[in-house]
Amino acid sequence: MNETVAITSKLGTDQRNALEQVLFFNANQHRMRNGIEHSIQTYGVPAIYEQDGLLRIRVGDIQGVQSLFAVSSQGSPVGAAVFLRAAHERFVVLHLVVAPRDAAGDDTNTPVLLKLMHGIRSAARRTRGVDRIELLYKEHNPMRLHGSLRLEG
Amino acid sequence: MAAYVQNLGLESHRFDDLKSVLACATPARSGDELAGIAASTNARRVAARRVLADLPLKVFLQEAVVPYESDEVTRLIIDGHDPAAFATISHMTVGDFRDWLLSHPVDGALLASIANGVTPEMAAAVSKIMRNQDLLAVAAKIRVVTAFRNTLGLAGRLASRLQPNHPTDNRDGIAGSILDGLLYGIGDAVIGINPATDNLATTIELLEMLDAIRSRYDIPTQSCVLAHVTTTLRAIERRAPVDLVFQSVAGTEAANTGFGINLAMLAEAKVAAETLRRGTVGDNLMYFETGQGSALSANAHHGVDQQTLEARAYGVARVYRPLLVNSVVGFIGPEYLYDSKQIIRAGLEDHFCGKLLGLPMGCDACYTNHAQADQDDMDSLMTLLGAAGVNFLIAVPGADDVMLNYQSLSFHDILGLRSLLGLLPAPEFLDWLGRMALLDDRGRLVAPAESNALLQRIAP
Repeated sequence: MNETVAITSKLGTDQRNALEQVLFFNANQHRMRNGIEHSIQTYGVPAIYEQDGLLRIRVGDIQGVQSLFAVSSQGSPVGAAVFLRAAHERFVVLHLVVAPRDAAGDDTNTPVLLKLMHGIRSAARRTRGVDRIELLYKEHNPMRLHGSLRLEG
Repeated sequence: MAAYVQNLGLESHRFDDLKSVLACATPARSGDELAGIAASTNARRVAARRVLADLPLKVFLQEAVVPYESDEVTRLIIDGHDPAAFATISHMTVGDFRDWLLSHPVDGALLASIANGVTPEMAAAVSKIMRNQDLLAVAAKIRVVTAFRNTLGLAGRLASRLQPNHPTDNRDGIAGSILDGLLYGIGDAVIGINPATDNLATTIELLEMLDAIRSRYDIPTQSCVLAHVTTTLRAIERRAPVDLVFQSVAGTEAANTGFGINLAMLAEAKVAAETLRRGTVGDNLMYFETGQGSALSANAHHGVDQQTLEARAYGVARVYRPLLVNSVVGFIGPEYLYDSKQIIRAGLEDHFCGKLLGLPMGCDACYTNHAQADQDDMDSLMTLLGAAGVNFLIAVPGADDVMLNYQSLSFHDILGLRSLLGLLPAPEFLDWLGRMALLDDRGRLVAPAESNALLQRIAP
């Protein structure tokens, strides 16, 4: 986990091709095929669009979809998370992707994944009332943020 | 603030401050890596441990890892330090302290006498230069006995929390799980429900339900609804039957703020619960839960490693003389403890540090569904903790908490561990199991007869 990867909600439009590669042409897509299909059937197809000079991701015509990007030290996306507050107490992670990387056997994807999860968790903790996160790719098993956590504003 | 330097071969390792030494000396874990404070190489980790081993314990009284001025947990730790209790070990380095802890003459009574002289940071520091075996050996010397409606923590005993959670707080579902657990001899530490929703009406309903069951069968145990401390305070004001006050606590003021609490709030709740005078054999009535990574997940870690912050959470807990302190070790997820190796190590560290600080430590040997762990790993952890003398473990029906969505231990796991290690439930609870005809003539748990009072009461 030594490589510098930052988590941000802002990604410049010059990274559109790179984000498309990560999100739509990911060589590991088949590993999560059932989860991806379920997400699309339930919530809609994700699409990249531009707004105020930044890249955004929408899903179908759902309002309130949020994105986080894992960005390498060169500024290119190496992962993305697309999530939604689907209910008062619940975030649903619609898509969670990490770029396949040539790392000579090193597990460089896991740290990126954990950073994205931490980013989603932080967003959830900042949102009053949210106490669980559901990963669609993980067979609907929601994670509780804490056993009896009550969030204060 | 001093920098620390250690030469290893041709490499020189510099650590800017004490918290950097502590972070780099910690066995590898995903949370510290996520925070960007872990040792970048194993060599650097060894260098940090060498620095740590040579540090005088007094350094931890002089250099706060979280600023005194801005953190009430630090103020609690520093202001509450007992110099007289510290005198026995005040001349030692961290390395000396480790060797002393492991030496034969140092027994439980001596360790109890120094507990208030040990700060959480000292406990965390020494644990970082101890192997798992060392953590077991020292913790096993320490008995921390507490009492409310029964007596917990005695030698040769292993208590358990019966955790009958239900995704919708359905009363019948909860009652079924309670009955199931009692028939397995579970529930002497507490019968404790995590409510699906934290509101006053539900909390009071569940408290009254638990109290009715406990009273009807005259069960010598305590009940708890694990609502937020402010909800419990309001329940006490309504004269609800509150035995224990529960709260999650963390090792920094900012993380506790994230939990919606502060130290004054905990003190107020303790005093309020004491006025109810519901304990029969003791007055320990606080129940705290903690977990490595809670401060990081709230972005409130101040650059301090998660294990040191966990020990600081124990520094908070001990002020309130709790009945139970539970490290929910694998609950928060792989972002903080990645796999079974990290979960097991953390569980042993937490138990050791808590006991060293004088706390009645229990553990929820558990993992989330997206962690690299399984039930065999939980078997390993519970067995190690049993050998280390853990006060209690958590158990849920089928090891699967269908409300909190994580995997823990089953009722049967507790029975198996008691049998394996020759451990018994709390004495008052054991007597009750006998009165309920749930023990055979050798004191072993048996299946109830159809005429058993517990079964008769729920018959249609």
